[in-house]
Amino acid sequence: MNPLLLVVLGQVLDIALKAVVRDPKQGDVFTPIIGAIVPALSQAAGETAAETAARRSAAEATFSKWAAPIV
Amino acid sequence: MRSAAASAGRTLLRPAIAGAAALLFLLSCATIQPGQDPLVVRTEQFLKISYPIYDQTMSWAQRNASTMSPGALKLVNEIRVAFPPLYRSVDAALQVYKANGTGDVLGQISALERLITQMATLVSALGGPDLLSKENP
Repeated sequence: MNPLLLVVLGQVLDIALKAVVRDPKQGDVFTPIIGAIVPALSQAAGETAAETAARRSAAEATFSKWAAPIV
Repeated sequence: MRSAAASAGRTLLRPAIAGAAALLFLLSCATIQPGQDPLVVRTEQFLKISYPIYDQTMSWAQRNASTMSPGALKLVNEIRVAFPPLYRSVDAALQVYKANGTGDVLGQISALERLITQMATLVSALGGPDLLSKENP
């Protein structure tokens, strides 16, 4: 998705969430907007090579941390 | 005085609850991007969340080792040893699947999932937190 569009959607979502938090009665207006924006912003994608390397490194660090028996 | 403090507490709490609810809503709505292989994406997500659960289990076990029975401690140490190779097996199967569309990713995930369920059940049975709860950080 276009990064500029992501920023705009993020700003609109921020305004909508703040409005609902301040006055829950406005939920009727803002909830459909939030419901439309959230799925577009939260689409899951596969890891990049850097993310995979970072995850593996963190996992291996965790495994090393627990290499000794718990007594 | 007390009611003013309670009111202030509620005022502070409401945005926090709304924020937490919004975050849970965001996570639960995550769909797979078009063109992405759901098996790859979900397996990577599974790998990403499973080792912190292992870490939490071991941290909790270490903190509570003195109160555990020898049998429970033995189980904890069996899980401690079994988890890393199983995790690496899932990761390796995923790489094979990504490279040529073959490999036993589902079988490996099932094995790791069983171990995670055992960890959560063990911690819960010993009076620890619910590790698989959404509220668990």
